[in-house]
Amino acid sequence: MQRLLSGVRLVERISVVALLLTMTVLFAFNVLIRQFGGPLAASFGWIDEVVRSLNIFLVFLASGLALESGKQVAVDTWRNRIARRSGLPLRRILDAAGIIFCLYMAWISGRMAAFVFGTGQVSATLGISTGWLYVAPCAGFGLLALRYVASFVGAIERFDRNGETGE
Amino acid sequence: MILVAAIGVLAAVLLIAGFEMFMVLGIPALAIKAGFFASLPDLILPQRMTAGINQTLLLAIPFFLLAAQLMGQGQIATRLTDVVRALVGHLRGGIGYTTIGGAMGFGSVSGSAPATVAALGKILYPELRRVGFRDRFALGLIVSSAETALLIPPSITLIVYGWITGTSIAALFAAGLGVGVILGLACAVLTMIEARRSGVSGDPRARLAEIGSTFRRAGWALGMPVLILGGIYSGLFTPTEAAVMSVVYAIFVEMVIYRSLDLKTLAKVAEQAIIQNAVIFLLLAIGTALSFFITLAQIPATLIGFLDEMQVGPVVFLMIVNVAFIIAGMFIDPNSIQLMLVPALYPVAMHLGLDPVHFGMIVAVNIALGMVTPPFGLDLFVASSTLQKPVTEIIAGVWPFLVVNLVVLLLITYVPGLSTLIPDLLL
Repeated sequence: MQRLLSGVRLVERISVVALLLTMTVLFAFNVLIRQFGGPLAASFGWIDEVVRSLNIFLVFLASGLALESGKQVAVDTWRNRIARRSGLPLRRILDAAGIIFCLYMAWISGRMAAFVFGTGQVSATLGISTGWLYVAPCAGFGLLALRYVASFVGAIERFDRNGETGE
Repeated sequence: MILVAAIGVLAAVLLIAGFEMFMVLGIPALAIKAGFFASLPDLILPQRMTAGINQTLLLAIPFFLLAAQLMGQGQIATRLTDVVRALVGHLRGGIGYTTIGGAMGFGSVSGSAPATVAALGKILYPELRRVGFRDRFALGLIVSSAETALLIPPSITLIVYGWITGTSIAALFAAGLGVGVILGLACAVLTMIEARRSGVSGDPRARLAEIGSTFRRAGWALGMPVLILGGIYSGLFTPTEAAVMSVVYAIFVEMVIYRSLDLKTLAKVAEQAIIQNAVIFLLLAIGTALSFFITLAQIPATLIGFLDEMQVGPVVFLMIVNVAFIIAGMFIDPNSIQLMLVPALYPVAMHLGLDPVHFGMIVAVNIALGMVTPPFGLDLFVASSTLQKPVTEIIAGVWPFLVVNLVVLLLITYVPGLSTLIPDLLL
């Protein structure tokens, strides 16, 4: 499990940094070409759509990293108190709910991607299938589900990264 | 109505139990869909989520976040603060005004209050203590003055509000500038009183040559607000274009001119910005689906009908809005608050004839207040971690500023001209 997570983490980190820097270069180029490129600017209308699409991939590919590093926002103040008083294994419940929710979201995003691929709908400026857009949430929720599973089986400690004490 | 209440209770239970906010928004969205619109295909969820964040306007967020991280790690924040200090540092309590001016200056290039606390806290806290400000006041001042970053353009809070409501970002930024200055001045009045009470001194008055030298040293840093604000209001850039140009400029200045960042640091800084971006956008994506179902379930219309029946006018409605935001701000992060409350309250505000920019300022000031409101204001914890101080000490220092904030909130709420004056002049 640890080897799998390390590999996934490395790929995610390299991909997202490369995505953000590519987005910056492309969008800045688009601004400059619009200001100074005259009629040439019309040839680069596709950049806006590419950058928007890259941002969607950026968001979903980094969501698992954010969860693992304890950066996904949650009101965690009462969590331990509730767990202590109720005797419920609250962290496990949260992880289990996370697994179910994220797998469901990954599943419907995958179905949406398959549906759009099937319709043959293509982007106006890029000429590629718009189904690719839904691959991002499918992959992103899959990566989130992986982190919830890892937390559930104790392979990562995502709660203590928020400075919490044990349950 | 009972179903709506049940879904509200479900969201509250998830929130209190400590579920991640994207699930606090996502599970009720699924519940509303199942309860009200079972016949709609499930595929509508990824469709609404992806369409919601597939907007050029929102690209300003990752770019401004990256620029803020670059400037915070590099030299731009420090040099902007040096300029303010050279101008006002000689006044009694001048370093206090420097803190406020520095926060406004850094806010004008970063758009993020936590980034402002992190960037300026370490530089200015020891200076505030050195000149004689009480520890608690110094902590409260750093945290509270950073609120101005949420209002002074570019503001991520205002970009999100504009995205939810369709209000012009340029108009919101112009209004935010005025309201941010009002908040800064209010903090300055409190600083002046404290400086007199504690017998705080000022720096020796800087000679003209020294001021000139500080300006020269900060020349490139001062170019940043000129690029962003000048670019937007001259019509040269849209807010998103200004955001990407601010990244290019920050990389150039920090890496080439100041040589304060290398490629390795750039990758590290980019990763931090990416994680912040992922957290915000996941909420925006799921929030889009939730607000779609809220609108489809006619919850705003039900609310309007209820308020009409109760004969609630704008004055009482805005009081309800403020109370709702203040309570929510004590517990929930700024973007989630907007995603939960604005889709339901904005149509009511428009129905009552309020100006969308004015309503945006009320929302933004409330959100800024929420960032410093105990027990869970985000900036309290950022300051605690940056300055290695217990949160309880920071909370103790923030109280006088909360009173000032509430006065400013009431002024902004009930004097619409304070919000609409600058947009009316500029646009």
